[in-house]
Amino acid sequence: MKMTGIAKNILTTAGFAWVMVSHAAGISDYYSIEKIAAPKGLDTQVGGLDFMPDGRLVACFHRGEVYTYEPESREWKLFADGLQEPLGIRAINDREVVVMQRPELTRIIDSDGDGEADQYQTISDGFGMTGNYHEFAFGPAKDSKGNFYVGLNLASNGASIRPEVRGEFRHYGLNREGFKSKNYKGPAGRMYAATPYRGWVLKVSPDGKMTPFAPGFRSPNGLGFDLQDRLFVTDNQGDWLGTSKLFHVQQGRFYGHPASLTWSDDWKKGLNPLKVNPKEFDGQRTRAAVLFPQGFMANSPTQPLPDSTGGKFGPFAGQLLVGEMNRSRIVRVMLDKVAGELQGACVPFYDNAGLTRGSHRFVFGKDGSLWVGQTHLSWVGGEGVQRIRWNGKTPMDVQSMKLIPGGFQITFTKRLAKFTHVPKQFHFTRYYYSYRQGYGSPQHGKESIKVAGSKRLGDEKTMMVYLDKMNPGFVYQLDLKGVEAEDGSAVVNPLICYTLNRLTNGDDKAPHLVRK
Amino acid sequence: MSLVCTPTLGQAEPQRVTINARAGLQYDVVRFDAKPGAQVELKLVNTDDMAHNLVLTKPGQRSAVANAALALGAEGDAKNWVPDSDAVLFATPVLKPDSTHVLKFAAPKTPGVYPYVCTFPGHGLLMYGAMYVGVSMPELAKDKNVPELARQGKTEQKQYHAWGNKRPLMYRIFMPDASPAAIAVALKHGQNYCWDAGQCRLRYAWYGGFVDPWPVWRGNGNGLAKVLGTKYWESELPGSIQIGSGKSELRFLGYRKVDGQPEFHYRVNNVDVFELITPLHSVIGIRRSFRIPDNTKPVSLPVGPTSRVAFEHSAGKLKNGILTLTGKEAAAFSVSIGLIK
Repeated sequence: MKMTGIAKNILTTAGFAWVMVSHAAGISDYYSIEKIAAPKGLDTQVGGLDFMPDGRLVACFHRGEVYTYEPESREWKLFADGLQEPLGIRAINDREVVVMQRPELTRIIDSDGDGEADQYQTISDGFGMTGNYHEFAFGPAKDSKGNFYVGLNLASNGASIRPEVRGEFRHYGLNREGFKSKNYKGPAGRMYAATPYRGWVLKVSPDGKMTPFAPGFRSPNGLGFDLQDRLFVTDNQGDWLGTSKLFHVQQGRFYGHPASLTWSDDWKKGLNPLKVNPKEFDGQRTRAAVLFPQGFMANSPTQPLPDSTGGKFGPFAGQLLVGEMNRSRIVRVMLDKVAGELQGACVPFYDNAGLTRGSHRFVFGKDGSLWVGQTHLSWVGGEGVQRIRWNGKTPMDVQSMKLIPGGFQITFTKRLAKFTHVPKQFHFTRYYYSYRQGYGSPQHGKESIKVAGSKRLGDEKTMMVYLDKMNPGFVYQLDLKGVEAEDGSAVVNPLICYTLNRLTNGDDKAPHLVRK
Repeated sequence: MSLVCTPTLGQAEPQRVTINARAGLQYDVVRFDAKPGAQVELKLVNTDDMAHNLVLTKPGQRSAVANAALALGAEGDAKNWVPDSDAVLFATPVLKPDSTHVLKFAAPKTPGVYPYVCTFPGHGLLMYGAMYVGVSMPELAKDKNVPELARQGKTEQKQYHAWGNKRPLMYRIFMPDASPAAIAVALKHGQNYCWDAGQCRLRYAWYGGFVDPWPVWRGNGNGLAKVLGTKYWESELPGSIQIGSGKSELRFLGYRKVDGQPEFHYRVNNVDVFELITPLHSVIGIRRSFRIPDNTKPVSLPVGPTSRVAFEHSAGKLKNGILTLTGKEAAAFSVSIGLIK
């Protein structure tokens, strides 16, 4: 979108009329994007991106290669190859990376300094594989102590298991013979965990000690720490996930998909999770900090990455960016701590504007530019590497959205126009998604919520908005209509979805309330 | 086929044929026609990463000439691996990578199928073709004078990487007849094997092309790579190397690259084992070199089947497909598996 169009919106209500003259808002007015040329013959589906301390980008690709890229000279150089579907990389130093590939977490070292790796050391392969295609392995995220965190996909009943598996076989609905039958799909479960720790996030110490960290995941294609050393993991809409999610992951908690639970120490032997009343799991699960509504926010969220640039990438320093496979979009997350637990809102950030679909992995360069790698693996997506730079101008957008008693405190990046009229311009809708064994969920209980009152704070950027109905267990969707800044710039991303798990009493003592 | 045929406008214009020697022990042209007595200019271009030649023989003498070349042993290099034999008609010298030689000769006057073969040791079994002089060619799929892979139309080397084709090369990829943590390795001289990181053992070996990874790479991984060659050995005994008595606790620890080839590192009952697999040079086959440096316990290694291949071991006792060694013997030993000719 270009700034050339001048939109005239005339909104008339009884006894109140105003004229808005504003530019058609587009993120490309504030950020530029560049496609990075890649070596000819390379399948550029990106599994992981990071920077080495010397400033070289390091990327792993679908067909098992790891390349370094020198941004100044624009030269790619092969660092390693032969890996099995690597889906994450962390640079340890200028000669060493750690890669998560299907079978293991691997340390790859260029010990003689010729730029090409010669040592491939298995840090941990302490988990099972059935050979099912859907058993992707994600990560590693790294905490401040140097521990690695990886996420293991469940198998999909789009295929069975292979004759030979790695690790113990365990499935309480179907035995090995059963998996060979034509009718395996139903008893296997839509997604299943027939070898150890499928559906888990694992913690691996730098010397290879593996700890099962938290169960309950379906397809955790995105692990990352924020700047406060908190682990976030995305999961994809499907069975047991009404819509895609962002979880704040803590040790020992359960995140909702029960197939993985058979690998918990305290799981009752022989008990098939598919035969358990979902209400039991519902009471035990930790809810997502943020729900990404399917169909219009994100269908397949990827890596969460905090804006660590300290302002070099625009006004959202410290916030999480999350990739989305299905459309040309990067989503932004605004977290809110309520009663000791994280919840919050998501909003498109970089929407369309030249971004290839399938944005999968991200890393910030030292200059504050964002490097993006795409993939598809035969699903919706794309391929290649792109680089996004901020041009220094501040987009008009929602900076933060925080829960207050009776409503939300919404802060914008710039001073609001004088004529801002909350009841007319702030449209709220709410709905919820069901927690069930079936695939996805429609929106339930969808209704418009009236604005009961509002108050503009003295900074001219913040609006306190009070709503007619505030109940936990809903997504509160805010659609901004024609909101603009004092300088005339329009809100770039007018769709914001807040996941209201808990209400606040203005302190941290509120109980964990859920929808009744 | 880069075959150029010029109509006879007098005898001056020779018939020109270009044959590329390429990776995977292949000539890209596996057969061509020549008129009896015609002048032929055969250009051999070595596009591979190892040495090759081309020797034209009398009909039916391909294997005999290749075997006679092998028998040259230490003298072979000096003779360009061309044996002193009446069966040899014309021969190029041994060509290093990226070099070319033009062989000029008059095609035999007697009609027949005249084989050509690379007599560099070990190559002759796969790397050959035929000059048809005054006889018509059968359908390619039924032509016994060309290699099996060419008959099956499997000679195309697809480019899957920015570097083109190279050996050694390894893929960790879903393979048939192995655990999901399989490793496929292409060695020089058209040698290939599948090693199982899930079970710390060699599963099988084949010669010819490497693998077709496309069934795995085309999408989300719901497929198996295809072996592009002929399997000549497949482990028939389950289990990895055993150290000491009792059940083996196995741990795969990765590998280091030695001249591009992986040397696997794994731990059996807390004892470090290193295994490097390299191609044999004189015959089609592989050598497994083991190092078990810090061990005093007896070692046993399943190596069967040993009867259908040329099996050799540098130390230990072989019985029923199991090689047993003392801890001292096992510090450094090797076994080799060669295809019987």
